[in-house]
Amino acid sequence: MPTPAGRRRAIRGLLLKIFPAFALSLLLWQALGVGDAYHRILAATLDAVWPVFDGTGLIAGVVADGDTMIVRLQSGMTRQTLEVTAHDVTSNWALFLALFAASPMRRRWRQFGLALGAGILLLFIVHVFTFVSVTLEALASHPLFAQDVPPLAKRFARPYNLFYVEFWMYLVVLLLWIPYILGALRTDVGNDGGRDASVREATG
Amino acid sequence: MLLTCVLIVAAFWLLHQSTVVRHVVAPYTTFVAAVSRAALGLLGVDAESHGAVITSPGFSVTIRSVCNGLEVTAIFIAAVLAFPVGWRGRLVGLAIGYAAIFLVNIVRIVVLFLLGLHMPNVFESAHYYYAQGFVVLVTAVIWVVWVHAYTRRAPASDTRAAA
Repeated sequence: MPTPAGRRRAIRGLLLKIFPAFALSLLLWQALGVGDAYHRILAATLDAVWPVFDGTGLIAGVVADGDTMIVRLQSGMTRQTLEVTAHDVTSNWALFLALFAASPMRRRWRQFGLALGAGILLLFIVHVFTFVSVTLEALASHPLFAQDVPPLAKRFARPYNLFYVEFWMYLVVLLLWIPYILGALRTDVGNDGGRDASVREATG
Repeated sequence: MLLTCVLIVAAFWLLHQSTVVRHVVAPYTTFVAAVSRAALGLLGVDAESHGAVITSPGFSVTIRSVCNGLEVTAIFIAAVLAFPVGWRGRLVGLAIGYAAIFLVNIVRIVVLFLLGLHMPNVFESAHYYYAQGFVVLVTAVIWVVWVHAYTRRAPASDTRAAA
Protein backbone atom coordinates (compact mmCIF):
# COMPACT_ATOMS: atom_id res chain seq x y z
CA MET A 1 0.00 0.00 0.00
CA PRO A 2 1.28 3.52 -0.70
CA THR A 3 2.22 5.80 2.16
CA PRO A 4 0.75 9.32 1.86
CA ALA A 5 4.19 10.85 2.41
CA GLY A 6 5.78 8.76 -0.33
CA ARG A 7 3.04 9.64 -2.78
CA ARG A 8 3.17 13.32 -1.87
CA ARG A 9 6.89 13.31 -2.52
CA ALA A 10 6.35 11.51 -5.82
CA ILE A 11 3.76 14.11 -6.90
CA ARG A 12 5.96 17.00 -5.75
CA GLY A 13 8.90 15.53 -7.66
CA LEU A 14 6.75 15.20 -10.77
CA LEU A 15 5.53 18.80 -10.50
CA LEU A 16 9.04 20.14 -9.97
CA LYS A 17 10.62 18.17 -12.78
CA ILE A 18 7.98 18.15 -15.48
CA PHE A 19 8.41 21.64 -16.94
CA PRO A 20 12.24 21.62 -16.94
CA ALA A 21 12.01 18.13 -18.46
CA PHE A 22 9.75 19.49 -21.21
CA ALA A 23 12.19 22.32 -21.93
CA LEU A 24 15.08 19.86 -22.03
CA SER A 25 13.15 17.49 -24.31
CA LEU A 26 12.43 20.34 -26.72
CA LEU A 27 16.09 21.33 -26.65
CA LEU A 28 17.14 17.76 -27.43
CA TRP A 29 14.51 17.39 -30.10
CA GLN A 30 15.01 20.65 -31.94
CA ALA A 31 18.35 22.24 -31.17
CA LEU A 32 20.49 19.14 -30.69
CA GLY A 33 19.23 17.34 -33.77
CA VAL A 34 17.50 14.36 -32.15
CA GLY A 35 14.35 15.20 -34.12
CA ASP A 36 16.22 15.20 -37.44
CA ALA A 37 17.85 11.86 -36.63
CA TYR A 38 14.44 10.44 -35.70
CA HIS A 39 12.97 11.67 -38.99
CA ARG A 40 15.76 9.91 -40.90
CA ILE A 41 14.99 6.64 -39.09
CA LEU A 42 11.30 7.17 -39.76
CA ALA A 43 11.96 7.81 -43.47
CA ALA A 44 14.08 4.65 -43.74
CA THR A 45 11.31 2.63 -42.06
CA LEU A 46 8.66 4.14 -44.31
CA ASP A 47 10.80 3.28 -47.30
CA ALA A 48 10.82 -0.33 -46.14
CA VAL A 49 7.16 -0.65 -45.15
CA TRP A 50 5.54 1.24 -48.04
CA PRO A 51 4.94 -1.89 -50.11
CA VAL A 52 2.79 -3.24 -47.23
CA PHE A 53 0.48 -0.21 -47.18
CA ASP A 54 0.80 1.12 -50.67
CA GLY A 55 -1.76 -0.24 -53.05
CA THR A 56 -1.09 2.64 -55.42
CA GLY A 57 2.43 1.65 -56.49
CA LEU A 58 3.18 5.36 -56.75
CA ILE A 59 5.73 5.70 -53.98
CA ALA A 60 9.27 5.39 -55.26
CA GLY A 61 10.96 6.27 -51.98
CA VAL A 62 10.93 8.41 -48.85
CA VAL A 63 13.78 10.53 -47.52
CA ALA A 64 13.99 12.99 -44.65
CA ASP A 65 15.38 16.48 -45.02
CA GLY A 66 15.45 17.95 -41.54
CA ASP A 67 11.86 18.57 -40.58
CA THR A 68 10.47 17.60 -43.98
CA MET A 69 9.68 14.12 -45.27
CA ILE A 70 10.11 14.01 -49.03
CA VAL A 71 8.03 11.34 -50.74
CA ARG A 72 9.19 10.54 -54.28
CA LEU A 73 6.31 9.67 -56.57
CA GLN A 74 6.38 7.90 -59.88
CA SER A 75 3.51 7.11 -62.22
CA GLY A 76 4.60 6.02 -65.69
CA MET A 77 6.92 8.72 -66.93
CA THR A 78 5.64 11.26 -64.40
CA ARG A 79 7.93 11.91 -61.45
CA GLN A 80 7.13 14.27 -58.65
CA THR A 81 7.84 14.79 -55.00
CA LEU A 82 5.50 15.34 -52.13
CA GLU A 83 6.65 17.19 -49.04
CA VAL A 84 5.14 16.36 -45.67
CA THR A 85 5.99 18.48 -42.65
CA ALA A 86 7.25 16.06 -40.05
CA HIS A 87 6.49 18.09 -36.94
CA ASP A 88 2.77 17.92 -37.72
CA VAL A 89 3.10 14.24 -36.86
CA THR A 90 6.08 13.84 -34.53
CA SER A 91 5.92 16.91 -32.29
CA ASN A 92 4.37 14.78 -29.52
CA TRP A 93 7.80 13.24 -28.85
CA ALA A 94 8.91 16.08 -26.60
CA LEU A 95 5.82 15.64 -24.45
CA PHE A 96 6.37 11.88 -24.26
CA LEU A 97 10.00 12.28 -23.20
CA ALA A 98 9.13 14.99 -20.66
CA LEU A 99 6.39 12.94 -19.00
CA PHE A 100 8.63 9.90 -18.59
CA ALA A 101 11.70 11.91 -17.58
CA ALA A 102 9.74 13.64 -14.81
CA SER A 103 8.06 10.47 -13.51
CA PRO A 104 9.27 8.73 -10.35
CA MET A 105 11.66 6.00 -11.39
CA ARG A 106 13.89 5.18 -8.43
CA ARG A 107 13.50 1.53 -7.42
CA ARG A 108 11.22 1.08 -10.42
CA TRP A 109 13.87 0.78 -13.09
CA ARG A 110 12.50 -2.43 -14.58
CA GLN A 111 8.92 -1.11 -14.85
CA PHE A 112 10.22 2.25 -16.03
CA GLY A 113 12.39 0.64 -18.73
CA LEU A 114 9.54 -1.58 -19.90
CA ALA A 115 7.02 1.28 -20.03
CA LEU A 116 9.47 3.61 -21.77
CA GLY A 117 10.60 0.94 -24.26
CA ALA A 118 7.06 -0.12 -25.08
CA GLY A 119 6.02 3.53 -25.34
CA ILE A 120 8.85 4.37 -27.75
CA LEU A 121 8.00 1.39 -29.93
CA LEU A 122 4.25 2.08 -29.98
CA LEU A 123 4.74 5.79 -30.63
CA PHE A 124 7.07 4.96 -33.51
CA ILE A 125 4.46 2.60 -34.99
CA VAL A 126 1.81 5.32 -34.62
CA HIS A 127 4.10 7.79 -36.44
CA VAL A 128 4.78 5.36 -39.30
CA PHE A 129 1.06 4.66 -39.66
CA THR A 130 0.17 8.36 -39.51
CA PHE A 131 2.76 9.27 -42.14
CA VAL A 132 1.27 6.65 -44.44
CA SER A 133 -2.18 8.10 -43.83
CA VAL A 134 -1.02 11.72 -44.33
CA THR A 135 0.72 10.74 -47.57
CA LEU A 136 -2.36 8.91 -48.82
CA GLU A 137 -4.51 11.97 -48.12
CA ALA A 138 -2.03 14.19 -49.97
CA LEU A 139 -2.02 11.76 -52.91
CA ALA A 140 -5.82 11.66 -52.91
CA SER A 141 -5.95 15.43 -53.40
CA HIS A 142 -3.15 15.51 -56.00
CA PRO A 143 -4.48 16.15 -59.52
CA LEU A 144 -2.07 13.68 -61.15
CA PHE A 145 -2.29 10.83 -58.67
CA ALA A 146 -5.76 11.07 -57.12
CA GLN A 147 -7.27 8.44 -59.42
CA ASP A 148 -4.66 5.86 -58.31
CA VAL A 149 -5.55 6.07 -54.62
CA PRO A 150 -7.98 3.30 -53.57
CA PRO A 151 -11.41 4.58 -52.44
CA LEU A 152 -11.03 2.90 -49.03
CA ALA A 153 -7.77 4.77 -48.40
CA LYS A 154 -9.41 8.03 -49.49
CA ARG A 155 -12.30 7.44 -47.10
CA PHE A 156 -10.10 6.43 -44.18
CA ALA A 157 -7.10 8.78 -44.42
CA ARG A 158 -8.79 12.15 -43.95
CA PRO A 159 -10.85 11.36 -40.82
CA TYR A 160 -7.89 9.56 -39.26
CA ASN A 161 -5.55 12.49 -39.94
CA LEU A 162 -8.05 14.93 -38.49
CA PHE A 163 -8.50 12.71 -35.43
CA TYR A 164 -4.71 12.49 -35.08
CA VAL A 165 -4.22 16.26 -35.15
CA GLU A 166 -7.11 17.03 -32.81
CA PHE A 167 -6.89 14.19 -30.29
CA TRP A 168 -4.75 11.19 -31.01
CA MET A 169 -1.39 13.00 -31.26
CA TYR A 170 -1.39 13.85 -27.56
CA LEU A 171 -3.86 11.28 -26.32
CA VAL A 172 -1.60 8.44 -27.43
CA VAL A 173 1.24 9.91 -25.35
CA LEU A 174 -1.00 10.20 -22.30
CA LEU A 175 -2.30 6.65 -22.77
CA LEU A 176 1.28 5.35 -22.92
CA TRP A 177 2.27 7.27 -19.78
CA ILE A 178 -0.80 6.99 -17.53
CA PRO A 179 -0.43 3.25 -16.73
CA TYR A 180 3.15 3.86 -15.59
CA ILE A 181 2.41 6.92 -13.46
CA LEU A 182 -0.64 5.28 -11.87
CA GLY A 183 1.46 2.23 -11.09
CA ALA A 184 4.17 4.41 -9.57
CA LEU A 185 1.65 6.25 -7.39
CA ARG A 186 -0.22 3.12 -6.34
CA THR A 187 2.80 1.16 -5.22
CA ASP A 188 5.05 2.21 -2.41
CA VAL A 189 8.17 2.65 -4.50
CA GLY A 190 7.87 6.20 -5.79
CA ASN A 191 10.70 8.60 -5.17
CA ASP A 192 11.44 7.16 -1.78
CA GLY A 193 8.51 4.87 -1.14
CA GLY A 194 10.76 1.84 -1.08
CA ARG A 195 12.67 3.37 1.82
CA ASP A 196 9.38 3.89 3.71
CA ALA A 197 8.48 0.25 3.17
CA SER A 198 11.84 -1.02 4.36
CA VAL A 199 11.62 1.21 7.44
CA ARG A 200 8.20 -0.25 8.27
CA GLU A 201 9.50 -3.75 7.79
CA ALA A 202 12.48 -3.14 10.05
CA THR A 203 10.41 -1.55 12.78
CA GLY A 204 7.25 -3.60 12.40
CA MET B 1 -8.40 3.15 -20.64
CA LEU B 2 -11.01 1.67 -22.93
CA LEU B 3 -13.69 3.95 -21.52
CA THR B 4 -11.40 6.97 -22.05
CA CYS B 5 -10.87 5.99 -25.70
CA VAL B 6 -14.59 5.43 -26.27
CA LEU B 7 -15.40 8.83 -24.73
CA ILE B 8 -12.72 10.52 -26.87
CA VAL B 9 -14.03 9.00 -30.09
CA ALA B 10 -17.53 10.09 -29.05
CA ALA B 11 -16.23 13.61 -28.36
CA PHE B 12 -14.47 13.71 -31.76
CA TRP B 13 -17.66 12.62 -33.49
CA LEU B 14 -19.75 15.11 -31.51
CA LEU B 15 -17.41 18.07 -32.12
CA HIS B 16 -17.66 17.48 -35.87
CA GLN B 17 -21.44 17.43 -36.09
CA SER B 18 -22.53 20.50 -38.00
CA THR B 19 -25.13 21.44 -35.37
CA VAL B 20 -22.56 21.22 -32.59
CA VAL B 21 -20.02 23.17 -34.66
CA ARG B 22 -22.58 25.91 -35.35
CA HIS B 23 -24.11 26.18 -31.88
CA VAL B 24 -21.24 25.19 -29.58
CA VAL B 25 -17.78 25.12 -31.18
CA ALA B 26 -18.03 28.36 -33.16
CA PRO B 27 -19.53 30.48 -30.31
CA TYR B 28 -17.05 28.95 -27.85
CA THR B 29 -14.13 29.79 -30.16
CA THR B 30 -15.46 33.35 -30.52
CA PHE B 31 -15.62 33.55 -26.71
CA VAL B 32 -12.03 32.29 -26.39
CA ALA B 33 -10.91 34.88 -28.95
CA ALA B 34 -12.75 37.66 -27.07
CA VAL B 35 -11.23 36.67 -23.72
CA SER B 36 -7.76 36.45 -25.31
CA ARG B 37 -8.27 39.88 -26.88
CA ALA B 38 -9.27 41.27 -23.48
CA ALA B 39 -6.16 39.72 -21.89
CA LEU B 40 -4.02 41.26 -24.63
CA GLY B 41 -5.72 44.60 -23.91
CA LEU B 42 -4.71 44.28 -20.25
CA LEU B 43 -1.12 43.89 -21.43
CA GLY B 44 -1.40 47.06 -23.50
CA VAL B 45 -1.75 45.42 -26.90
CA ASP B 46 -4.12 47.20 -29.26
CA ALA B 47 -6.05 44.21 -30.59
CA GLU B 48 -9.57 43.47 -31.79
CA SER B 49 -11.44 40.23 -32.17
CA HIS B 50 -13.94 39.40 -34.89
CA GLY B 51 -15.31 35.90 -34.55
CA ALA B 52 -12.34 33.58 -34.19
CA VAL B 53 -9.84 36.15 -35.52
CA ILE B 54 -7.72 38.39 -33.30
CA THR B 55 -6.11 41.26 -35.15
CA SER B 56 -3.71 44.03 -34.29
CA PRO B 57 -1.88 46.49 -36.55
CA GLY B 58 1.17 44.18 -36.70
CA PHE B 59 -0.20 40.66 -36.50
CA SER B 60 -3.37 38.63 -36.70
CA VAL B 61 -4.22 35.10 -35.73
CA THR B 62 -7.18 32.80 -36.32
CA ILE B 63 -8.15 30.49 -33.49
CA ARG B 64 -9.00 27.22 -35.14
CA SER B 65 -10.78 24.23 -33.70
CA VAL B 66 -7.65 22.61 -32.25
CA CYS B 67 -6.57 25.89 -30.62
CA ASN B 68 -9.77 26.66 -28.71
CA GLY B 69 -8.94 24.12 -26.01
CA LEU B 70 -12.05 22.00 -26.50
CA GLU B 71 -10.07 18.92 -27.57
CA VAL B 72 -7.74 19.00 -24.58
CA THR B 73 -10.72 19.66 -22.32
CA ALA B 74 -12.50 16.66 -23.85
CA ILE B 75 -9.44 14.46 -23.17
CA PHE B 76 -9.41 15.70 -19.56
CA ILE B 77 -13.14 15.11 -19.12
CA ALA B 78 -12.82 11.59 -20.53
CA ALA B 79 -9.89 10.83 -18.23
CA VAL B 80 -11.76 12.15 -15.17
CA LEU B 81 -14.99 10.30 -15.99
CA ALA B 82 -13.12 7.07 -16.63
CA PHE B 83 -11.26 7.14 -13.32
CA PRO B 84 -12.91 5.18 -10.51
CA VAL B 85 -13.75 7.80 -7.87
CA GLY B 86 -17.08 9.08 -6.59
CA TRP B 87 -19.20 11.60 -8.51
CA ARG B 88 -18.42 14.41 -6.10
CA GLY B 89 -14.73 13.97 -6.81
CA ARG B 90 -15.38 13.86 -10.52
CA LEU B 91 -17.42 17.07 -10.44
CA VAL B 92 -14.73 18.89 -8.47
CA GLY B 93 -12.10 17.57 -10.89
CA LEU B 94 -14.12 18.66 -13.92
CA ALA B 95 -14.76 22.15 -12.53
CA ILE B 96 -11.20 22.86 -11.43
CA GLY B 97 -9.69 21.12 -14.46
CA TYR B 98 -11.86 22.98 -16.96
CA ALA B 99 -11.09 26.35 -15.36
CA ALA B 100 -7.36 25.62 -15.28
CA ILE B 101 -7.22 24.36 -18.89
CA PHE B 102 -9.22 27.37 -20.07
CA LEU B 103 -6.84 29.78 -18.31
CA VAL B 104 -3.73 28.01 -19.56
CA ASN B 105 -5.10 28.04 -23.09
CA ILE B 106 -5.77 31.79 -22.87
CA VAL B 107 -2.18 32.28 -21.66
CA ARG B 108 -0.98 30.14 -24.58
CA ILE B 109 -2.92 32.24 -27.13
CA VAL B 110 -1.73 35.51 -25.58
CA VAL B 111 1.92 34.40 -25.49
CA LEU B 112 1.72 33.12 -29.08
CA PHE B 113 0.13 36.39 -30.19
CA LEU B 114 2.88 38.38 -28.50
CA LEU B 115 5.50 36.15 -30.14
CA GLY B 116 3.85 36.63 -33.52
CA LEU B 117 3.84 40.37 -32.93
CA HIS B 118 7.41 40.76 -31.69
CA MET B 119 9.28 37.62 -32.81
CA PRO B 120 7.46 36.29 -35.88
CA ASN B 121 10.35 33.97 -36.79
CA VAL B 122 9.78 31.81 -33.70
CA PHE B 123 5.98 31.78 -33.92
CA GLU B 124 5.72 28.58 -35.99
CA SER B 125 7.94 26.40 -33.83
CA ALA B 126 6.46 27.86 -30.65
CA HIS B 127 3.00 27.07 -31.93
CA TYR B 128 3.73 23.49 -32.94
CA TYR B 129 6.22 22.38 -30.33
CA TYR B 130 5.97 24.46 -27.18
CA ALA B 131 2.47 25.80 -26.84
CA GLN B 132 0.30 22.79 -27.63
CA GLY B 133 2.58 20.45 -25.72
CA PHE B 134 2.57 22.83 -22.76
CA VAL B 135 -1.23 22.82 -22.51
CA VAL B 136 -1.32 19.02 -22.68
CA LEU B 137 1.45 18.84 -20.07
CA VAL B 138 -0.50 21.09 -17.71
CA THR B 139 -3.61 18.98 -18.33
CA ALA B 140 -1.69 15.82 -17.46
CA VAL B 141 -0.36 17.45 -14.29
CA ILE B 142 -3.85 18.59 -13.22
CA TRP B 143 -5.18 15.09 -13.79
CA VAL B 144 -2.39 13.45 -11.78
CA VAL B 145 -2.83 15.91 -8.90
CA TRP B 146 -6.59 15.28 -8.97
CA VAL B 147 -6.07 11.50 -8.95
CA HIS B 148 -3.65 11.90 -6.05
CA ALA B 149 -6.05 14.12 -4.10
CA TYR B 150 -9.11 11.94 -4.58
CA THR B 151 -7.59 8.51 -4.19
CA ARG B 152 -5.95 9.81 -0.98
CA ARG B 153 -9.07 11.42 0.45
CA ALA B 154 -11.82 9.15 -0.76
CA PRO B 155 -12.59 6.21 1.50
CA ALA B 156 -11.66 2.88 -0.05
CA SER B 157 -15.32 1.83 -0.21
CA ASP B 158 -16.17 4.89 -2.34
CA THR B 159 -13.36 4.10 -4.78
CA ARG B 160 -14.41 0.46 -5.04
CA ALA B 161 -18.04 1.39 -5.55
CA ALA B 162 -17.16 3.79 -8.36
CA ALA B 163 -14.95 1.19 -10.03
